[in-house]
Amino acid sequence: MNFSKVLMLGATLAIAAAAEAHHSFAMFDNEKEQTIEGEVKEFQWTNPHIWIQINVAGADGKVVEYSIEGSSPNGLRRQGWTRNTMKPGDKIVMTMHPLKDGSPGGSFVRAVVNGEPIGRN
Amino acid sequence: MKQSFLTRAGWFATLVCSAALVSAAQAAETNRFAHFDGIWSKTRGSLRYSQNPPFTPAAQAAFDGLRPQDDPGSRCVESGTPRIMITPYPMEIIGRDNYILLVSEFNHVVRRIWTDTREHDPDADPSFYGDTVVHWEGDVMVVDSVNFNALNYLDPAGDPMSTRMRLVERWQLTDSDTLQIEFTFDDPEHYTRPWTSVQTYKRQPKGFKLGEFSCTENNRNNPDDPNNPKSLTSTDTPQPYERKRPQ
Repeated sequence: MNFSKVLMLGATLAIAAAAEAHHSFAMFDNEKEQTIEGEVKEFQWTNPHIWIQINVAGADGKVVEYSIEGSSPNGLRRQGWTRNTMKPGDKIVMTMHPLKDGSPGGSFVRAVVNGEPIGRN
Repeated sequence: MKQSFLTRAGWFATLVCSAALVSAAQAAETNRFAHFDGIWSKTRGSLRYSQNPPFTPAAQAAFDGLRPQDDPGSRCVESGTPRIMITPYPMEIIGRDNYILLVSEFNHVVRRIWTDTREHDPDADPSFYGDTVVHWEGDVMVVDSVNFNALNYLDPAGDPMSTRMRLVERWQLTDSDTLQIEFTFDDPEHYTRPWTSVQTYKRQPKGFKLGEFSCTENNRNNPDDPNNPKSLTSTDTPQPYERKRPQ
């Protein structure tokens, strides 16, 4: 394990597509949740999907950059998000459906930024 | 013969009332397609028309082998009908006297349904939204479409469609804030029999605004983009679509 904190859970949540999608989300394992903890490197408040880049430091000190795909700014705005919901340097605990191929990334499920939950997309 | 003033006034009133009735009837007919005016969002749930469509064996095998990067949506290909009808993005419906516009928040997509033709056009070019004719059965608007170009999937899950598909939609307001559409897919190329899916859409409150949306602004899922080192779909590993997702 090269990241600080990983929880793998068999997801039993009766939720719809984790991120509302214009494309297939088959690359994500929607049966699993994984939680990572790190620092926001970049918040891409863009269409068709938002992206959150997170630097996660492993126990060995090596930093791995995760790419988290979320919903669209329009949809998230209706749930109270703005382009300032997070910024580089923020501490973040991110729960995601991980990529099936094991690459560092996933689709957004929920997150806590600087101690404040920002809710489900 | 002389008519009294009262008689003449009576005739006049009758004429005025008749004219008003005729014009109200015409207005009702003219405005019939405004029946669905408003902004609507699909109720949350599956982004798939069916969890278990009656695939032919070949279609089942093709579906099982789909890879995320095969999805035309990952390249921002026009959604077309019926995919645009199952996206989670809100859409505005605007009924005019001879057409209905569906303006989706997704990529500013416009689906235009002509309502003043009764026969399919044998010379129509195959298209993303098909060739559509409309008729009413009571308060149900029946939208019958053929001649799709089939350059996209039925839905984001990857259910296929062919140029032979006929789609019949039955649109009905089940209450003033609920639009229900029953979709019947008849596509012998991929399915062993016609099959049906019902989707519901909720009217959004006054003041709800559609936002701007560009599919190509930051499409990191485009597997063809060589300038996109962070593409997450550029794997060649076949990954069957997860079909256990709850409805």
